[in-house]
Amino acid sequence: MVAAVGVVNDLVAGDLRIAVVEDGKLVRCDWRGRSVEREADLTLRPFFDRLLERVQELGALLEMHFEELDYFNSSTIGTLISFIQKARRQKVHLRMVYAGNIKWQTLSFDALRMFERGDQLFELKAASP
Amino acid sequence: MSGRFGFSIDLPVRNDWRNVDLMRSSIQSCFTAVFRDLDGCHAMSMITGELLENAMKYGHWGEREQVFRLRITGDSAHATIVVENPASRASGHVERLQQCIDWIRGFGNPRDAYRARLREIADADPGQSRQLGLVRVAYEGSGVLSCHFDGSVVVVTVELTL
Repeated sequence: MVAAVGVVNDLVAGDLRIAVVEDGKLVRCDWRGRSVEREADLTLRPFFDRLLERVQELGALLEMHFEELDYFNSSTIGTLISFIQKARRQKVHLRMVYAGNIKWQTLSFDALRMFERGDQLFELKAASP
Repeated sequence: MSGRFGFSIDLPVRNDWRNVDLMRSSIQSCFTAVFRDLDGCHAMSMITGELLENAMKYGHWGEREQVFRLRITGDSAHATIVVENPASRASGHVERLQQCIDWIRGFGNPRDAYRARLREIADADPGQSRQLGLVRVAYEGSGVLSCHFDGSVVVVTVELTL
């Protein structure tokens, strides 16, 4: 028998908070604050791994919202790219939503469009204010 | 200092990781108080943050040498951000730094370099070194990078148009 993963708790790491809310077939994560760890992998990867297991268990869409995030460093961007790849391998439907009216978010996330492949496993969405 | 909006910041920074975000957010707040262009303020603070991170990660830190230098000068149209830190050629850092700058220059534009680096990261093992910071400075910050090594200190300079 496979043990259930259970609800994933919010992540709080320094000035970063990622709030996790489950709503039926949707798991929503809201990023707030600043992600500035020296090695973002160490903090984020275990959290992402639990999230992916939980989302698979629920057969849900994983939606990550960055609109309220003030800043992330390049280490965080690298970790996000690895996460996008892993979610795709595990056939998890991942959507990232960013603030379309904030230039740095638009530049950072638009560059990730190269990982969209038209199969809807990974989607980027610019939110309007 | 040139004109009404000329500015000059010259600070020693202690080699403590918490200082990266303290300095980065302070720079953002400072320039937000001066300029209307919030995107330009964010670009300057992001560039500062990435350069400080590199200095702390790859600098040659001895027992006594635990301070490095940040300088930001400019006016309403232009800024120069300089970080200088102790370095050792033997560590390979100076060579990697110059190679990265040359690699970025080898692309038609920084966006292509950034996308190429993202592809490399996607194809690499998760734990591998990524070296994304300087490429981000060129792409997201529209910064023009150069570096100079005098045998014990490496000086990284970023020029940007505001």
